[in-house]
Amino acid sequence: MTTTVLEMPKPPGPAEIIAQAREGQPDALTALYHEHASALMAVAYRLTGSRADAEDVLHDVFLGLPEALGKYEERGSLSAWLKQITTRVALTRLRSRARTREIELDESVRVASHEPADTLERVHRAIRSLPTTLRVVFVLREIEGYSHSEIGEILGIRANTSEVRLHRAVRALRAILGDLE
Amino acid sequence: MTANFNDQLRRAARAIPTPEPPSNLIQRVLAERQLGARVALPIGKPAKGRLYRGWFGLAAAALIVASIPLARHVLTTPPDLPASPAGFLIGEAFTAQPRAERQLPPLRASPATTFPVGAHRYVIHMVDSIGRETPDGDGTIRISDAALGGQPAWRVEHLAHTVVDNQRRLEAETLFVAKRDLRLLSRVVEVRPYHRYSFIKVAQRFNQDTVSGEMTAEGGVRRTFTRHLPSEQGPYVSDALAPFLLAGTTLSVDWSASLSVIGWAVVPGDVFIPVSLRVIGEETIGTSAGRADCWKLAVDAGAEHRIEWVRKADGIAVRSFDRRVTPSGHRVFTLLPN
Repeated sequence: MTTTVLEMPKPPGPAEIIAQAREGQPDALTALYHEHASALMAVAYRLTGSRADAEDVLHDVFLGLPEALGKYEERGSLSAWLKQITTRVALTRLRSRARTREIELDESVRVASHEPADTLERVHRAIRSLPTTLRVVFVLREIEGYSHSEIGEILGIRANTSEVRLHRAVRALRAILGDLE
Repeated sequence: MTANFNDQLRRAARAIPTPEPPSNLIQRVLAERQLGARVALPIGKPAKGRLYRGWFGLAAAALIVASIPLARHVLTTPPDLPASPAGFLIGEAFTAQPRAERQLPPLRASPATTFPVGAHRYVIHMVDSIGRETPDGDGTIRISDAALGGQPAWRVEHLAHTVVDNQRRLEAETLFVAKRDLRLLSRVVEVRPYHRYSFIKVAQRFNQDTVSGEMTAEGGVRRTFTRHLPSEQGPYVSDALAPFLLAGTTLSVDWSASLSVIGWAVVPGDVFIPVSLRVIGEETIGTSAGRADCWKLAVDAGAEHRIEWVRKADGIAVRSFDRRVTPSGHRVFTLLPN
């Protein structure tokens, strides 16, 4: 009796997945989605403040990913590169929303109210109440951990402008939140 | 400001929960890609100091701009016009509007432009990645002769039923436009409901290079505004008249023009949106009223793009295709025959 040993196909490595995703292969794109979508959704949500907008951002990122990967040089990590693209798409969407008539009239009302809320909720509301230019810098620096130089590159502003905006954002949050004890 | 506060703030901000991505989103993406849908992602570095003009402008969602009534605004009973602008100019402040460099000549309105008096209905459908059509709204634009402040005017009433963020809305706009040069004179927009408010109403008056007015909403919410409308960004139009804007214009194969669509102007980022129009071809399309020879136009507002078919016979836009891909597909506006 002979025994046949079946060799399991070797799963593609990261470089191979990227190469296949560049060609638009569904399995590769699906693999990238499963690996990165959660982190990218979080970035998009923090920047846009809206689940629906964040989903649209994620949709656009993966829709355009194969063509964009043609310009990915594989020097830095893929996740950092994807985050940066997601950030830019989210900022685009933010700007878009500002141009629509979807004015969030109730933002300041909610923040100014004294209804009971736990610290996270209070902080969340306070961050959302910041002007977009300040909120974006705050999120990128304090939550996503970008340097001011990187933020400057993403936003097309100088690094010291980013620092000033962060300072103003924190000052505004301090005024809204008081102590966080 | 203490380091302690900063640390606590940072910790709290990082701990704010975020939603999980939908598991079926990648299937939608793959289906759309299979049908040829693509989107150019912003990869390059933005130019310094152009944050809000370059790729940022990409998403001018107010694209309601295009020629067929923007999805989000359609017809109904016109609210009363404000009796006098003086009543709502309290505490206003001028706000500068970022200016985009204009590449195309401004749209020149012909004094002889005659809009088709009467009611005109349109429907909006979402067309998904496999070609299924789902109703997404409808509206009516009613045009009549009128006069405002002693000058002959067109009165335009736009009534729409829309769904925004799962909220069904009724949107009404009443617009007065000078017959002599199609300048905006006065405009009132009302939306019911609007987010958590049962209504919002925005009344605008136009005076040379200024729009001023008042926004009111349920519960006594009130805000006045005055915004500058730079002449180099004109002419300013309302999307309520969008399908009829070219009724008095002679188009040709190399025709192009620019204009700006007026926003609510309540907030600085929503004063106007620059739009360019270019003839890109000629096509005969099928409509419910039969076949129509049309000019095919590209309508661009930043990176938002539409394709529009304007009937050669009368300059009326009979169809508009929003090239933006949404999870529900493309949005298509179709003007119905009278």
